[in-house]
Amino acid sequence: MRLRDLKAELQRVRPFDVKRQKYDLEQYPTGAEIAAHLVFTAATVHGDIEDCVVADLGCGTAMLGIGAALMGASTVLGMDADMDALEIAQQNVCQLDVAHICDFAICDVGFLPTRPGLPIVDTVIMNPPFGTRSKGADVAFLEAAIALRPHAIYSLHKSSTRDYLLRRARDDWGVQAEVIAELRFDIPKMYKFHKSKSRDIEVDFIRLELPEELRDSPCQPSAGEERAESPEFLSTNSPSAHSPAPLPPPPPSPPAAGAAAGTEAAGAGGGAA
Amino acid sequence: GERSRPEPPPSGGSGVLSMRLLTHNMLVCNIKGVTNGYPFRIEVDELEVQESEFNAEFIQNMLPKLEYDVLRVAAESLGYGELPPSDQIDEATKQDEDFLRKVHHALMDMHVLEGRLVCPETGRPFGIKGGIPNMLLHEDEV
Repeated sequence: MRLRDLKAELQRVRPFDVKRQKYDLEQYPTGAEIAAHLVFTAATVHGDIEDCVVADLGCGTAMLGIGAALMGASTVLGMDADMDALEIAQQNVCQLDVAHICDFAICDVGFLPTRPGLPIVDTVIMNPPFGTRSKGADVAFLEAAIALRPHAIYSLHKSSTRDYLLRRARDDWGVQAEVIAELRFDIPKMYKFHKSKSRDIEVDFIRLELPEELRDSPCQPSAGEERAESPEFLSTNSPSAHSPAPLPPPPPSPPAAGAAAGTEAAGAGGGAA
Repeated sequence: GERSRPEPPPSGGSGVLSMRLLTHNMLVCNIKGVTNGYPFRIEVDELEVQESEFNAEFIQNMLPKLEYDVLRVAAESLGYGELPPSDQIDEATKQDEDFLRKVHHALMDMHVLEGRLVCPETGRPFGIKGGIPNMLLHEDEV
């Protein structure tokens, strides 16, 4: 599927029901433009979507997961803590004819109920909370994604957190991390506590890659204890954690996705819709 | 190259919204202190079996990642007892289309719409409603 066809399809994905949007979860819809860009890059540049088992953490109304399904994922697992959002997600997958590919589960991303055996998930795609309402949520999502031990993770984070996240990836989690693109999002005023009419936020599109050794370690099924902690096997001084290649300078921001007047507001952060 | 993703059901349309056994294969009970939270026992109130088009390569790719015996037992609990026990499976079996079709059927065609996932250690049920399992923990379980 071509990028512009993917965008067109994703425009059909219904966002959150405004009356039921939950600001504690930092729910902002992921615009079709951003979602298409993220999934298309993962698919065509890195081959991380086609025939893969893809997890969408904090899937909201499943914008990203549906994108993955359309780009050839074998199976998409959408997880979110909000039942209302998942109801809309189900309508969306039916509407876009990908219900047979997508499964959903209601769960807290901080407590992912997934077994520690050999990983089923190949790729994680997500648009996590920025950590504005719930401090550290952005990091918690990355740690949860890593604990699934996929081959690759695609995520969106505030550019202001870039240095911190790249350092954590390198030093604490033992994973390669690169900023694939720098984007500018226009987040419209959606909640009462928002002061200005809309805000421009610089956002990094980040790709993490796990070394094979981390994926291949089948842990013993003492599942309960592993969940709440940082992944034990990702030790700081592990010989298998190689230092990532020097990061390329972030490319100049592409034309602000969705920020121009008249186009659909392409928000980022929060349970992606 | 060859696509190894499942095809939409022959009837087309919206497909079935459900929890498939692929998802069940992944899920574990992570209540604090639980050490034997895998696999969930499935109590099914509403099940739908809908055939989807078989793709051998997709199943072959999935096989090494699955807890096979968990799949076999779960399928059996839903009424599908055709999968051979793992000690009867060798390299030849994994190439056998008949076997792969059975795995496909168990993994992808059995749709739990309503029911519960029951923790094997504590008996705590996690409800499945409209095909979505609710794995949220209560405050005292975290």
